[in-house]
Amino acid sequence: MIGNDIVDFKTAALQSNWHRRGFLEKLFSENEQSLILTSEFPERRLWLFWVMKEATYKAHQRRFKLPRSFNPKQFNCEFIAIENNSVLGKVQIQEFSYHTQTYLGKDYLHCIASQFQQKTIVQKILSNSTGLKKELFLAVSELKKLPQAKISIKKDCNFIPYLMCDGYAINCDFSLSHHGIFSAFVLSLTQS
Amino acid sequence: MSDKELLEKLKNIVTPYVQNKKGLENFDENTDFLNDLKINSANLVDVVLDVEDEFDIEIDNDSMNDMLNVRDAKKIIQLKLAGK
Repeated sequence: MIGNDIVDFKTAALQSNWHRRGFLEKLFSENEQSLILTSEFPERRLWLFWVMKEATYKAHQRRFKLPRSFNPKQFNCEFIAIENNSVLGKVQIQEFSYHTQTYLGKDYLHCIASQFQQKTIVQKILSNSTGLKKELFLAVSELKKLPQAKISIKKDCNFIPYLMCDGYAINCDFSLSHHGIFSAFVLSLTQS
Repeated sequence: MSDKELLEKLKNIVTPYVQNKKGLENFDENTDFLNDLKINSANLVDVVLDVEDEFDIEIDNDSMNDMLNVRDAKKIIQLKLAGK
């Protein structure tokens, strides 16, 4: 299963005051907090951990069909490799671990989390939120050879989105995210 | 504190983080922070911290897990107030 998350730096700076008392403690482990506070760019580091946790939360929730939960602190982040514009990581929740790959943009961060180290993922990042579903439906119609106009999106009892075509659920591993002006989807090309 | 008072306080707390202001018109126990009010998940922690300040209680991690809708938030606040 895969999950993804995106953070718009401008929106994050406007909407979140990470300096407020309790903010870091509620979301991050002691180790993560210290890596944030000793970073040259604490705010970027903080949102890096955040997208890793959120993307993994989505993959984990889908994998076990879990009810929603707000428990970022249970997701423990580790860096595997830091490159110029991307960070490979690992996120652990209980005994389960997930691979993450985060793209570090100038204006946003985008993380993909997956249960397996998949190489065949389609992703699309848009700098608006209006066309995202259409783009996803197009990609799915090509992948599954289904008519795009008949594809729709629904949510199950755990608020996990799934795709339908002509009254049937499509077996499809994907994830949507949006924040500020950005939106993104990831779609696995292999069956999970 | 009456239910009505508690809901009023909770509504005031979440209002600054609400992306879908229309969702506030029918604010009641069935209101969902994410689906109805479109609060960014990054702001859920602010809701929790504001609740702690407003009611002078501590929301532990287990309770924070469920702070996703008005019904659960109300339950948690009442439980914590009763334990003060």
